[in-house]
Amino acid sequence: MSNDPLKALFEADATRRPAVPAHDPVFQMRVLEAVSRKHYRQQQVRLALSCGLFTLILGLLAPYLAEGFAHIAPQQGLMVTAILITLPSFILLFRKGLKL
Amino acid sequence: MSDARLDRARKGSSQAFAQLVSEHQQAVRLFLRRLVSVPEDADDLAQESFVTAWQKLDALEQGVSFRTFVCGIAYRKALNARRQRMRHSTRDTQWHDLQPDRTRPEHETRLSLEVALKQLPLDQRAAVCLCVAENHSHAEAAAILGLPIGTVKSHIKRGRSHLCQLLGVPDHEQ
Repeated sequence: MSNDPLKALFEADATRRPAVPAHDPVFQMRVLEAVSRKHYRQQQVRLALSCGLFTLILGLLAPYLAEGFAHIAPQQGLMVTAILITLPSFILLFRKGLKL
Repeated sequence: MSDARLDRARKGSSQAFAQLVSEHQQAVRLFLRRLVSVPEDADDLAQESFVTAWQKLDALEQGVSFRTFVCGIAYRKALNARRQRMRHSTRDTQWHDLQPDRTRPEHETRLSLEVALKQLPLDQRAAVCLCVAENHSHAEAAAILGLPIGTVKSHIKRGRSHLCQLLGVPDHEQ
């Protein structure tokens, strides 16, 4: 017990209040779940923005790219474009081992 | 030990962050329970505080403990929650409960600590809870509340004096 009466009242009050355990796995799980949910949402937004930006850039460059590919490989122009579109997406996804 | 865990949590280790939550949840929840008084609301705010702490771990300055950092976030969340309540229910009883009750002390000399704490403005209540109940230093309380150390000392002095008067106990600090 403390010599300070106010401190002693706080100590006595702490014993009357509903106890907060020193380790509370349920609370810990709730926090981690909320953190994961937030992390996942942030990753989704980031991925959507990157995809949008990439699509926009590709849309702007497509006429020039198609013309260039037609010169390089006249028969496989579409295939090369498809690979160029999917490759950055795979790099983006697997860069962190698909950790969302 | 704690610094190593903080570094790992900053680098994205959820295991390190889970250990930090486990270690500090009791202090943060107790602090909020004294500020908010409804245990469920306090626990919800504590949970939000840890989530915000996780998002802002990079903003944690050297020399500031994780507990001080989370308690600071928790205090600001409690302030915001009170503001929202006041906005939504200006004539509600909840609003009335948060206001210092100046009529009761004349009729009752000894009140329960919980009721007496409610009579104090939130900044005084927080300062008293941190320094008297939870043994934080004035500097730590100043960091948590985002106030100058002199203001914290004055809040504690006024809060103590008011509480002692309400509870009918002698104030040793005077």
